[in-house]
Amino acid sequence: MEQIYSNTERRDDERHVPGEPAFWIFIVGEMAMFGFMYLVFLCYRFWTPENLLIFEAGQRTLSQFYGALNTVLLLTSSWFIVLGLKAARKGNASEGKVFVKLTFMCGLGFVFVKVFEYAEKIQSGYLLNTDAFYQIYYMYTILHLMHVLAGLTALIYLIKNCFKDDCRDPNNVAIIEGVASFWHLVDLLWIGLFTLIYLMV
Amino acid sequence: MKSLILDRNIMMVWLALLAVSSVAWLLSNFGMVFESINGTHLSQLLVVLGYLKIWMVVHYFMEIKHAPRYLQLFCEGWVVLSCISVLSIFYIL
Repeated sequence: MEQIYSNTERRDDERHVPGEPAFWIFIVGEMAMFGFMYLVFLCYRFWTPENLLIFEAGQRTLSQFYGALNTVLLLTSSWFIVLGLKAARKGNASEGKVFVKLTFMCGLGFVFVKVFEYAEKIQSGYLLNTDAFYQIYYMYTILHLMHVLAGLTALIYLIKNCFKDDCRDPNNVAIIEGVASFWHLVDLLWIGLFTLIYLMV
Repeated sequence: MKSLILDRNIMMVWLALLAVSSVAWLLSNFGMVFESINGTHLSQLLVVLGYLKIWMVVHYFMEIKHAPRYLQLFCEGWVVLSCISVLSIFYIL
């Protein structure tokens, strides 16, 4: 058994696709789509002087604290899933499971903060049809939130199925790598949104 | 478990990501106190810092640094191209 699974811990100079290669078509497609969405956001922002004023005013109504808190949660969750993957490669199922559960909790924290933020905005009267800024804010962040929910579902699958005694099985490691890559994608897409929507001055 | 958490390389990446995020947040809130920096330059700097974080996630966390060259070229190329195209909007519009 040791012999068969010995290649799941990789050397630093060894090159391989993390997860199923076909899954990367989806990940790369998502990166391209969000890259395009970032451009649309900025074009919309700078299109007319009125739009720029609306976007600047809209940004001032957002809470940078919620955005920053969610950034810390997602960055930390990304770190945890890297550790979970490393544990699985070493055959340490129980530790791996703990790290993936921590990843899940951070992701869940992100959802709670986002829902709380939406509730606060809606109570203050900022809705999808308020102005151009809020239109794009809700569309982009809800689309991202859907990715987070899909990631959380995949994490539940990992917790239930992928951290058993034979977790070093290359096929099993490939599944964990795929989900981890998707979770990192969720993280990096948020970094872009946080920069453009919350931080830009 | 402790040995995994204390894995220095990956912990350094996480700490660096938090550090860059903190710098970006400080710049966004207090950057305008520097008279030599106007709003556009500050926004451009924030965009660059954002893409630096994205590159770190792609390179280290996603393990693209160990991926085949074609995938590495595509993913890291996307980071660079996306950053340049976002920055170019500041000059075009």
